[in-house]
Amino acid sequence: MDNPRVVEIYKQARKDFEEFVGDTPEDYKVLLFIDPELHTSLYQVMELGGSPFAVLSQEQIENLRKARNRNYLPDECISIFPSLPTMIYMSLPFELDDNPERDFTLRMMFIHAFAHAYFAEKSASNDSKIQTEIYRMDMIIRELIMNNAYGLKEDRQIPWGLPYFQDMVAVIRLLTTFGVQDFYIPPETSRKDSLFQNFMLEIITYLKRRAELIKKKNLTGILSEAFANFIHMKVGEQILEKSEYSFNRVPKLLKPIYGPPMNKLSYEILTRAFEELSDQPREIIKQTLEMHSDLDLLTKLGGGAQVRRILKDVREGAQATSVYWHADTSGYWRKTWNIYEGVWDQLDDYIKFLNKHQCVNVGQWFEGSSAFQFYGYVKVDAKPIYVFEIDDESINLEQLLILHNHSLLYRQEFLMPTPGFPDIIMFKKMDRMVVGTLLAVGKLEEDPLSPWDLPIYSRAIDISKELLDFVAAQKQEVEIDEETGRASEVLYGTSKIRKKVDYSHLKKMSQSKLASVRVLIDEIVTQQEGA
Amino acid sequence: MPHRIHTISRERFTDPLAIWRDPDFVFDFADAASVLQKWRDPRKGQSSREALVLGMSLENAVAVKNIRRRLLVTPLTPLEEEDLVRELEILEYIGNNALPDALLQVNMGELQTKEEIEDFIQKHLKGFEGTAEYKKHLTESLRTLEELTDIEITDRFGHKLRIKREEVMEFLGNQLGNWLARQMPAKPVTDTIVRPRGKVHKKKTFEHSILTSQTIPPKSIDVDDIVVMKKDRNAQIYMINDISQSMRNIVQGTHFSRLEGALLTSLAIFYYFKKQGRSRRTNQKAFRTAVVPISKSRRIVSSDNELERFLLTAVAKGRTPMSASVRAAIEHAKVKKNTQNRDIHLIIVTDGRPNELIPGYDPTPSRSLIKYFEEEREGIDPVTRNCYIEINSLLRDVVRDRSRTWKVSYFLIGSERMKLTDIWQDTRRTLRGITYPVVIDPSRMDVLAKTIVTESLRLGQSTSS
Repeated sequence: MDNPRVVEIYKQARKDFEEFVGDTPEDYKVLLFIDPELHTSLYQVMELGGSPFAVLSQEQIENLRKARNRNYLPDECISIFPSLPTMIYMSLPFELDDNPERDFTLRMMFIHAFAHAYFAEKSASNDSKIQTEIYRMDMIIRELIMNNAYGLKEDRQIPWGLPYFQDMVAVIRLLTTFGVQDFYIPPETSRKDSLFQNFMLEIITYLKRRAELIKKKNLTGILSEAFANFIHMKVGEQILEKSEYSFNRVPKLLKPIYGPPMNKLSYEILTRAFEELSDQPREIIKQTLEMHSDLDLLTKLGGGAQVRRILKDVREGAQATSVYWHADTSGYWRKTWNIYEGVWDQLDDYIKFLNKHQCVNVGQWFEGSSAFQFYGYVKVDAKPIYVFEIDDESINLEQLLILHNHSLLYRQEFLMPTPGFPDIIMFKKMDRMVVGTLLAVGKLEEDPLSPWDLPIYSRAIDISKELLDFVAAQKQEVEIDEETGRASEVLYGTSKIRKKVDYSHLKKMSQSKLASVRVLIDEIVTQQEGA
Repeated sequence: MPHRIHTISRERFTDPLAIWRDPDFVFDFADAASVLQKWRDPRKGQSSREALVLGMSLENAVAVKNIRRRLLVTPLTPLEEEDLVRELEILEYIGNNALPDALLQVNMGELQTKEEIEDFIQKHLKGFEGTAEYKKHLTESLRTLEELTDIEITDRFGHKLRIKREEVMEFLGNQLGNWLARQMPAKPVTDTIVRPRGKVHKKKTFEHSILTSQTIPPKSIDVDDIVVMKKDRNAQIYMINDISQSMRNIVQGTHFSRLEGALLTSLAIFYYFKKQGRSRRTNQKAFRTAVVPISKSRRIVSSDNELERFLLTAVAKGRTPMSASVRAAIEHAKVKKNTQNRDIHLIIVTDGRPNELIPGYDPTPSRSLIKYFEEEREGIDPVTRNCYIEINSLLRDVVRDRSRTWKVSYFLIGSERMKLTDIWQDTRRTLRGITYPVVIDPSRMDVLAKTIVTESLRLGQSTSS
């Protein structure tokens, strides 16, 4: 049931692309969604996982599902996964009625997608090759999970296997990505105990390899967008100049690839970088393909300061034009203002960061980035508790899931051994609040057989002066009670066994965070063993 | 070959063990105590409450992020856009203000139940228009708290039982209430002598008698017609509970403290009388129970919600301002008595001496008590003495009330040997003419509820005849 119009437009777009670039991408797959709803859901899931096959945690999927049901998810967009072959997912921007605006929209979207595919094929950066490998790994992990979860459900009547695997993989992936690898890993000898044990060992090794791979990936966010935007905007200009259509402005339907700051900025950067070649687009394309990462593009333009000046110009210019993409009638346009500003700020920060740290690949970016900060560890009775912070936008809030998962662990009875977590304290900024989360596994007697045997403490506190004051006041009260001897001997029996806490391995951190670490550590110290 | 998308699917399995219970589970007082302990465990409760707030803010954050992106990327109609912007404002407000505050309150232990968290956020949202829709979502997400917080216990024989956190009170109450009711099938009623007065409608009486007793009564009325009828008591019961420091002591041979024993007893009695009240066909509840903790904050716990909160938060600490609590109960009772004509029953459970006075209260105790303290107990701490005097004065006043519907029982937790001590002596003398104190062995805390109910039945009958 192919729609001839779609095929026509597709062919037309390929022709446009060939005329402009002189070549066409060959290694790609296009999936058109006639029902945009389906695309919306998939799109988000894939975006978050970073790859089409990534396993998301249960919680994340649940939240996405809620967001979709409430119609909060962006739709009518185009999603491209620059592996080999490049995967292009698009919603059909029309309900199959004849409309030149919609035709043009689809045509431009195809051209944009082809440009991405072409970039993935020809670019000198290692981006697409590594992506391909990561997607492949994700698929294997996924299949492994599916098979095992199915087996568990069929053979042993354990229906919660799948959600549990999803969560575990998502969390372990996050932690390995940031190099926190001191997991409680089931001992190698346990491999033969059960299929599950074996599976977990495999998954952990696999995720480690995935994390290593990601670190080698070049940063090409701006570069690839610049390439694609340059091509589709130039082609679009030409088509509109030739008056093939009855209109000469870009229709509003093209908001996804014309509206956002990223698209405007990347186009501007590329055209400015090759100002001297502005009449030779093919030469620009050729030279762009030779670049390895965003940093090359920045250097070509003469460094970060120059780029940021461009950004400032574009930003100011966009303030007037962004209105075009909104159906403004009643003046609430100003309320979307700060959204744009937020995105511009992010872009600005990114460029500043690249320039300052001169990083080429993701690994280097992680190192210098405040997206992840490692604060060393606190030792409680020779057991280290790692302290780190994950910054807002860079990570999809997964840290908080861990806490959630632990709560779920508490609830369900597992008949199988699982990997535990290292003891960690994580800070995370969520809008106004900074949350400190403690996840600690109690004293392990032997090789525990199930998560039920792992005594787990988890706490989350809002790091604010109010709370810290409150805790301090409470502590004082207890001390007074103890001094005056009001605490009953019968209750406590022997005096409390003090654990040794060693803060000397902590790196420098803010006073309130340090205080929160102490509060959270107290939680472990006062915990009675075997309670 | 068309490319196939491996859809990212999500399976939702219900936990088959969610409401699960081993059929052989033996439930006794010790098990009840362990459920109570787990329920009251601040850590487990708190971290799941914290997880709830975090889960909500996570959901919120995901929504905010997506709306922002939708506004940037998706072509929208003016109406859609306006709705979306408004929704975004609300969500941002919740994320920036309501949820951080809620987390802080949870951290401080001020929000204990999901209703409280919900209320708190609702209060925050008052200023916003059109929040009805969000309220619905909020309720949905609050449901996750239920899922997070099951309690599992194992009995002596290794059988397992799992209870939803929010059902704990109901569950325990029913268990204990039934358990009491099984041991004491008799309902507390009062025997009343009823004489026919004035003109007797013979026919009616005759028919009525046939219908009710199914025996043919005599044709004429004489002395035989004077019958003893059982009359429902309309009673208000106050369980005045010591929660001072010493109640922390672990009951010998068990794993629970005196406080927990007392809390469970309160719960058992609360539910026992609630059940008794429920089984009547009258609209008015025949029995109402209130728990009065002996603490500085003189509160009367009389509704389910309050009781739940009390059970969750009661801490054994501080001194024993018994007289003040007794007075609070009496004042509360007087209102009930005057408006609803209820019999009042005060039950005091303590494990020691009262040691805090009511400021500015001028007691009028019996002269014999003063004499007792002056002559036989010269060395007693004056504060303790005055406390006893206050209690005597308060209770004497109500017991000598002309309605003669006030009853007092006094339970002293301690072994039989306590009867040799001064505490016993002082208590007994204080309560002379009011009631006879009952010593209950702490290791028999499990029968405390039974003793109390028996006591209350006995008292009910003895004083009204």
